[in-house]
Amino acid sequence: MAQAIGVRPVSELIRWPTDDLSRIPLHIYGDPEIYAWEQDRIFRGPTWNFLSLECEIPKPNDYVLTKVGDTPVIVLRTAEGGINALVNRCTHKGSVLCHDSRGEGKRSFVCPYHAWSFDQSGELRGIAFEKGVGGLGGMPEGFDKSKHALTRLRVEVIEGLVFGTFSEQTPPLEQYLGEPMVAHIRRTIRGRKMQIIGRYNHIMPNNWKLYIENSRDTHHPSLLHAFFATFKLNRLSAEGGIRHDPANWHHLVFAKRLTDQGHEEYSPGKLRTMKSDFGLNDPSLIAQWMEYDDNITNALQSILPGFVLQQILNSVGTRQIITRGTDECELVWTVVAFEEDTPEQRAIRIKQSNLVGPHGYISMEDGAIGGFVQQGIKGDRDKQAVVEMGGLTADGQPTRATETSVRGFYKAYRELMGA
Amino acid sequence: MVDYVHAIDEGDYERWPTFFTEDGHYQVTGRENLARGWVAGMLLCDNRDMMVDRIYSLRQVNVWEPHTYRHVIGPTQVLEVGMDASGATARFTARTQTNYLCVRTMHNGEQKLFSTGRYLDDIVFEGPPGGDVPKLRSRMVIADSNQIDTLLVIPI
Repeated sequence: MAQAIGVRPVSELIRWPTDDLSRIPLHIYGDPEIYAWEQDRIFRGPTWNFLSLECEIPKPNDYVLTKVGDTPVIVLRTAEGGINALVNRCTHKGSVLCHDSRGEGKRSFVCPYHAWSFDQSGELRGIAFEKGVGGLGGMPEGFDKSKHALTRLRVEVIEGLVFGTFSEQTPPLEQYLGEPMVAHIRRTIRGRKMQIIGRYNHIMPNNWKLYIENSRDTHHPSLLHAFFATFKLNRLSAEGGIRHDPANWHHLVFAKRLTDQGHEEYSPGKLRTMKSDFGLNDPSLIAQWMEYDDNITNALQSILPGFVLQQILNSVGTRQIITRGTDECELVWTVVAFEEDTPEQRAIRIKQSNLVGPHGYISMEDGAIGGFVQQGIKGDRDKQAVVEMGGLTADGQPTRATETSVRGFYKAYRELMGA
Repeated sequence: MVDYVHAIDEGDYERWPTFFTEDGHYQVTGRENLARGWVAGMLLCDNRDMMVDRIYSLRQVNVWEPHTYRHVIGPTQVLEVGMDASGATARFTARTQTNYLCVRTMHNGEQKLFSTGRYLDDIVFEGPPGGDVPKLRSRMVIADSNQIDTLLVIPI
């Protein structure tokens, strides 16, 4: 399967301004040919894509719809209790098989157009009028149904997070994630049973990569998000850091709110975001309990290509990027509670959902800022972005005043795109 | 009802919390979230102080591209009327619902249908005995779509 049909090769489309990782050519945020290659080489390439939470399909024969890049995918629990992921495209004429976003008791998927039916493994089981009507018409003798199965993704699950990949080349999930990333996912979920408490479908007016960069940009929060700095939620002077997987594809940025001793860079008037007069009338919003022994109060874990596992105080959740053309993307936010939470803990998580999503005190600005960039670069696609803070490489660094993780993303991007 | 949307549409955001009782509850949620029992909707305020904080943040802290809303509201359906006898004086209460349509206009003139849905309200009539000042004890904004374009900073 391919999206990049009739388009120029990547090597003709992208010219990196420098050999190091410190420059990004701006036209990669708006070029439909590059976008087509990204679908093939990144989303349907050797990457693990987040599909859904296991708790969304708790019972046999439950299913939920999702997307990998532009490709519609059905994630289902089989009658035997396993999880399969199938491309939601009938192999006959290409219609989506299933249009209800979720359902239960679904043992087969029958196309609404001509009633081709597929089982939970994606095998084509039935064709209406296969033998024709009254001995006339029907499929020819040699038609082999086994050659017309749905495209099936490989699926792996870690801590209730379901991932899928189109490629046989993708290493097993844990190997793909790398030990530090696996450890942090296990630390965040800790084997607890998730319950969804909210979902937001956030349409962002920018190329998908601008959001991924934003989620990995460790020095913007204290500059863009006044809310953070004011409440010492994520100041660069608080103890924190960045961890990478060995290949530098994925990254984790974290902070420990209560270690912040203040720093003169954050004196009132120095940075726009430091508004010392911003005291909450109702500080219960940022009341939290120490959920983790490591005292990390704020952690964003970004898994290539488009998944983020978030912990903002006690707001735990997932973010999934879905592409929507060159100039727009959708960020699906899911906030969760855990079965073992006390009612008080659950109430805190619900209240802290004010910090995240399109309405979030903090994250609303990430919705706006990608659009600002997309608008800003319209006339200057021959120019380049400068990502040089913290050097030219994508190493792990003991500070968040760096763009190393953004460079890490482009290191992986260049490897995957082959240019 | 009418005064509420005019206050928002004319940018008089500081008046927004005044339509609520002190312990008033405001929440935006999507139809799907509500149907699935996902309780953590968007923009949740469970008292008037939280609403004041939201407006302060909108004015002073948050970065967003300037825009305004225009609400069009439909007739209000009264679902239930009652009497709250818990205070010193008995007060009339009502549960109502009202459809809304909200168009967003950006500073450059670009317009977009931002949200449609319904308000599900719990109203109490304050003021002197038999008072006639309606205050919202709870307003649940149930948006038809779970999608929000760019951001939700001004309350609906």
